Amino acid sequence: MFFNLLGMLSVDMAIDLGTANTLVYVKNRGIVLNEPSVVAVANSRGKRQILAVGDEAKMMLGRTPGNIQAIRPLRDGVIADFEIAEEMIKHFIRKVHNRRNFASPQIIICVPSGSTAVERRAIQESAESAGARRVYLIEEPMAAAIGAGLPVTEPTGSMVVDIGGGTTEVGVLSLGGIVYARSVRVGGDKMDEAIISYMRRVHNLLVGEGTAERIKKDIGTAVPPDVGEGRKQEIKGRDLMNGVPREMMISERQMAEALNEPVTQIVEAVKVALENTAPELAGDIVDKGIVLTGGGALLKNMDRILRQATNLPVSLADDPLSCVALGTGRCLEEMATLKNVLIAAN
Amino acid sequence: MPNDQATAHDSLPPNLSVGEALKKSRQAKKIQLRTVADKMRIRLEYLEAIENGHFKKLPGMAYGIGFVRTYAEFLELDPQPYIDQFKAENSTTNPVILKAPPKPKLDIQGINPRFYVIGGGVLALVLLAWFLFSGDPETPPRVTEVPPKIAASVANPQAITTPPVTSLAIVPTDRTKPSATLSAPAPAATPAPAQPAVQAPAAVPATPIKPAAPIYGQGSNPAPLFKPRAATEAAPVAPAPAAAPAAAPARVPPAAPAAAPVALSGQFTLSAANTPVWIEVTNGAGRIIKSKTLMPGESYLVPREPGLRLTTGNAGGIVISQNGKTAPKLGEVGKTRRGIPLDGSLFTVGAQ
Repeated sequence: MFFNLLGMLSVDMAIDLGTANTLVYVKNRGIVLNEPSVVAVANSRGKRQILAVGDEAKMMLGRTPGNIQAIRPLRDGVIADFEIAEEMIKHFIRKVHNRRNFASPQIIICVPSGSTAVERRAIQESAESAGARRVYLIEEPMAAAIGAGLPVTEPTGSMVVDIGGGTTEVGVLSLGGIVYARSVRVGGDKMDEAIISYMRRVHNLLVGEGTAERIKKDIGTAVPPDVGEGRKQEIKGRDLMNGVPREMMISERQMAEALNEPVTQIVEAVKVALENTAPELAGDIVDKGIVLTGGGALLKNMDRILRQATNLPVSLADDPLSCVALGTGRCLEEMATLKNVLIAAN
Repeated sequence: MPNDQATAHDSLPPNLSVGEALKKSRQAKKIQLRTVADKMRIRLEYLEAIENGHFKKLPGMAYGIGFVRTYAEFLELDPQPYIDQFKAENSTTNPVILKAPPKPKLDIQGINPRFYVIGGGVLALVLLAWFLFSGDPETPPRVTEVPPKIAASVANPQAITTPPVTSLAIVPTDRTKPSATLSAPAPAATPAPAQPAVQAPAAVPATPIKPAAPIYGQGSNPAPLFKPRAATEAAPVAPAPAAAPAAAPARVPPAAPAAAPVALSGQFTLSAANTPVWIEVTNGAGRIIKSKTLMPGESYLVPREPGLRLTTGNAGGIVISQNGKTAPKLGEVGKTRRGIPLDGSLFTVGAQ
């Protein structure tokens, strides 16, 4: 009763709690917030205090003095730091509600399909302690497919590959349910790590996560260019041989080499999913193909390498970065019809 | 490679639909549509549908956008204007309407809520039926039979002249539930056997029955064949209805029918002569309407029903009478007879 009254003061939210970015969709308003999932925590006299959340905190990542920590509370799509994640959700709820303190919204949060019950529970409890009245969970492939506009409730197979920051979700969906889902803990983060390790191994240059991410977005590619080295970009870091900062040029071909391992893992996950798909659904997928969503789908030639590997039509969803948030939001808007696709939290 | 792909065609050629623009670019590059289909793994019919503007043939808006993007990229065009144009042309058809996934109609593991309603109804009916029909099997027919029998008893002068004593002798014998009559003498008229009950409130005050009734009630319950208590039970009867001490132990066979003059014409009276007699009377439907042990002097007025049959454990001890006539003996003392029809054939010699 009390919660219902508070509910009237609150707006319902759908949260794509991603490893890299958190997107918040508010009912009847659309996506209102898109910030990195980073929290800066200051440690003053043994007490932890939240210094900044989101964009502000991301600027601090890797540049903090001793008493400040810039933390990414999610790793591999699930909560790694329970306390900080809760603070982050709380911050987003307050931000959406213009810092009103009595907000008690209904929240839908998406979770990786491969997450364990404990991990789901952690996300649910974080949201509850952050003030949510009721928490629903939705599996990421489902949210991504709804967000991409696939006819998931029809009796026809749809295949979606959502390459997120922490995980890659491969899902085959039909009749509002997930027929097969596979979640591999490879995503944008692993690509960044692959770039860092490539630079260190091959060029003796130590680069930061931020630099690696930027270079991936600029000239990253899944397939080396047909001829030549492709585009080039300068990359800055610390030389491991003599310890001084250094700048060097890196080409698209080198990036393809660096990203080979995580990309291959994603391709393998897709192939395994196809192997496990029922023949009728496989028939539907041959017709319509695979839809790529998520930030990782923006990696150049990702569709091409999947097309080559699977011989299927592979298309990129419209606005792949927001697909999951839009899909989760659509569930919120069409709660009456889409309630079945949600995982009701107890 | 957005920089590479964004060639001369930064925007769509004016006045062309997305399909026509793509087709034109393709023809300018001298590429067969089949080549596009093979390289991009998109079905030829979908590519044709895009070029000819038959968007309904596409598997869905999301896939359509993907195909347009792939096709434009293959032609090394910037896909975004084509996608925007495709969306604009396709705006009439709603993107994707998500219907609710099929909902379970019948819960397999649990019980459909409808069954609770039906089950509740059936249970209520069963309970109702049980309340209506679970009483003493003798009572319901008698309720209805009372009025005509009263009329009949009025017509029978013998019944009217009967002293109250006889009803005293009869009332206890017929009471299987004495408490009913004791607690409410007036309504006792309905559950009680027709004649005695009707007469009892009028002729006999309720008080004399009280001491007698419980004794007979106890005596008749377990009903073993022979009871040494027969004599002792008869004793309290005598002092209670002080008016007629002689009538209660009416042991002489002719006296028994005479002691039941309330019997209507055609109604059988069963009584025990000198020894206890176990009797069981069934009606035409085979239902047992009475099963008890008659003590010497006790009698039972058989209700009038079709197809009555008598089983007795003491053929020689039972006295059957009808209309004041006593039937010949059924057999020797202690002999069991089963299924004897209670009708006129008893009075013919051949029936035995």
